[in-house]
Amino acid sequence: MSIKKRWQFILSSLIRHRKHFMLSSIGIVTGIMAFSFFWALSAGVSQVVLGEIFPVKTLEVVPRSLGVNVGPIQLGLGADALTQKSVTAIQAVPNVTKVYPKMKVTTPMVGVGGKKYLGNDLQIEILAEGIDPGLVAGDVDSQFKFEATPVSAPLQSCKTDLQCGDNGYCYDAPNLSWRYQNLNPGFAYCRHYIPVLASQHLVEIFNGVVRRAHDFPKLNPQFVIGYDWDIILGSSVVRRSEASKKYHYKVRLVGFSDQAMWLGLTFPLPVVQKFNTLFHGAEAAQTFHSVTVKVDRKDQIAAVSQKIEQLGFDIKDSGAARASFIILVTTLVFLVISLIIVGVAAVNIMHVYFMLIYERQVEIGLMRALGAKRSDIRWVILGEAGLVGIMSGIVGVVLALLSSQVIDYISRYYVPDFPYKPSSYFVFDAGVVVTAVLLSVGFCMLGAYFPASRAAKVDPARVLTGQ
Amino acid sequence: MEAISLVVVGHLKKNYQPKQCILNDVNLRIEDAEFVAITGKSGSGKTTLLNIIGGLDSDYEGQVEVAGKVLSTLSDDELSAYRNSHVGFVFQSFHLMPHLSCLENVLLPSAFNQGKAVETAFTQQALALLAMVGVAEKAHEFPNCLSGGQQQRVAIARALLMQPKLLLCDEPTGSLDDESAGDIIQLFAKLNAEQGMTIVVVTHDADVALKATRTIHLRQCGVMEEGQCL
Repeated sequence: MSIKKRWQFILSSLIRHRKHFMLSSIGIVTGIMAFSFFWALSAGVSQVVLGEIFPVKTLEVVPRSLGVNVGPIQLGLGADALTQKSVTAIQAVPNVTKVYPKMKVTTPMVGVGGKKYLGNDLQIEILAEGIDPGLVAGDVDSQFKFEATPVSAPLQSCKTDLQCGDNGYCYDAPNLSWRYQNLNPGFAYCRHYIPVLASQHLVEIFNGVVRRAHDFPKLNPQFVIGYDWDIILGSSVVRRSEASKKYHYKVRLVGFSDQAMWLGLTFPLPVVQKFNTLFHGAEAAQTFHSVTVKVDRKDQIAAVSQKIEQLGFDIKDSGAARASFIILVTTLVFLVISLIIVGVAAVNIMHVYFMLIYERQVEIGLMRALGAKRSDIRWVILGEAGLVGIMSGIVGVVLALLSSQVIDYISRYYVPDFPYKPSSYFVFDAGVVVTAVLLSVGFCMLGAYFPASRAAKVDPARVLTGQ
Repeated sequence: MEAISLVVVGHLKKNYQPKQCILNDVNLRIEDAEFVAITGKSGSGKTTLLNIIGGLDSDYEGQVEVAGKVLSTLSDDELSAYRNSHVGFVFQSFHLMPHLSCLENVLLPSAFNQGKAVETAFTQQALALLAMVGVAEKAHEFPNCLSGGQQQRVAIARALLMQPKLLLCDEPTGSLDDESAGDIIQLFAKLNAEQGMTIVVVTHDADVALKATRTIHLRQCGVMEEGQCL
């Protein structure tokens, strides 16, 4: 039988027995809906958790230390920093693409600013670290640069910020920077803003928690890029921590990065080296508090981690592995439940087909008597099941999509904001749709396989002449 | 000149259950262009014999040869092709598909044809056959709008579509009133006389047997008595 004729038989049969097929496909539709719903939910949650909360593209290596508890104090034993030699050793580990040292600012720092957006200036203690600009090159807004601040030389005197260009400001302060402290107070000159990066976590915590306590407006992360404020190095809200020297700078937010410090600001590494040298001498610029290790592929992370630990370093637990595991297990549980629903539906389809074939045995017998091969009968039945599968799969995915829209709508308008609240909890990509439809077709055809084989064996002599 | 045997049945045995004798050592020849009526009591094996000749039943002992084809040597697919192009079936219950029009019912065997005949050629042939059996005006109507006699005519047109050598009819008048049955018998006689169609009819109807050129009477276990009808 030609393919065209086969499809004519299939469509004719589907139209004639549409009620049976609709009833039998309810189970498949439900199962496929559950399957694609949970898959898309898992993908959406993974995107937020592993893409924003725990980005797992890199490893954070820290010195190995042992904490000994003495009353309320924990004493750290072992190294507290990584040397250049450590960096070289880690760089030599196979499959490590690049190593980026990080250095914490070891002097207190206070930030002042925010009036432009918040109505009042905030004064808060700032934690900060320095990072290799190469690690975050892709995260910096295109109109800015993330590099050690160049200094105009000879210094250009000024009276207003406009005289200092887009990336500079007119600095006139009683305490000049460490580089220029020999200059006379009152001499105003142009300086560049120090570029800083922030983590999305910071905005999430501000929008989710801090703003509520202080009745501040919610911040739009993209809008605050380019915003500047003051920092006073050596100053602290903890009085006894204040340094004898204080230095005043202006910083400018140039982007957000997954690699940036969660609760603090991230400077170009050379800037932090200069800060630390200023307070602790030249040696302070030679040791690092951690290194970020980039690996060729995600699946090499476990092996690289093991090698680095064998070298005597620790891998900082970002929580990503545990989060990833929990998501994976939860997803698997729901997918298995969905597959059980689809499987039960396939059994239901089998029963419906056995019943239909009993009803249609004269028709099938006649087709055999008129020249249909067994394979023709088998393929007509399987084709019907395949078509029911395609339609059930599409309906299941559409229902899952509609359900996700309802949930997103409820979340958007009726669920209070919380950190990392996504605009959508679901990611429906082509993979979900194709897999769901293929699964539906597969289970429908599986359910119809035995009935199709039985139909192919219908004895035309018995059903047509009663012999 | 010796007639050509279209059907040759040799030492045919068929039992449905052990010790239940249906056909036992049946030997039969049907020549080309014969109109044969097979009669006998219920259970004498008439329909079973027809099914075996038609390739609907392949579970038997002995040899059945139709148009030079030994049916027991054919694969299932070859038997399907044989049923499609060498024989036409007419059943007591017509077995028209209710969801198809009369024309579509007649065209049904062409769907299973392995040849490269054009669909329009089959359609022309089907319309011509409907005209020949006298139901041309019913071509686009559904079977449930037709009388029993008209439905059987459509079934005969369907059986003739693939221009078979052999027409096998199982009680073709069994569900019809006398007038319709007479018309159908006339149609068979006309097909046989004018087109030389070989027709084998299983029947209880004495009128059908009278119209046949040869009658085979089956007794218990397929014991045959032959009679020549005028």
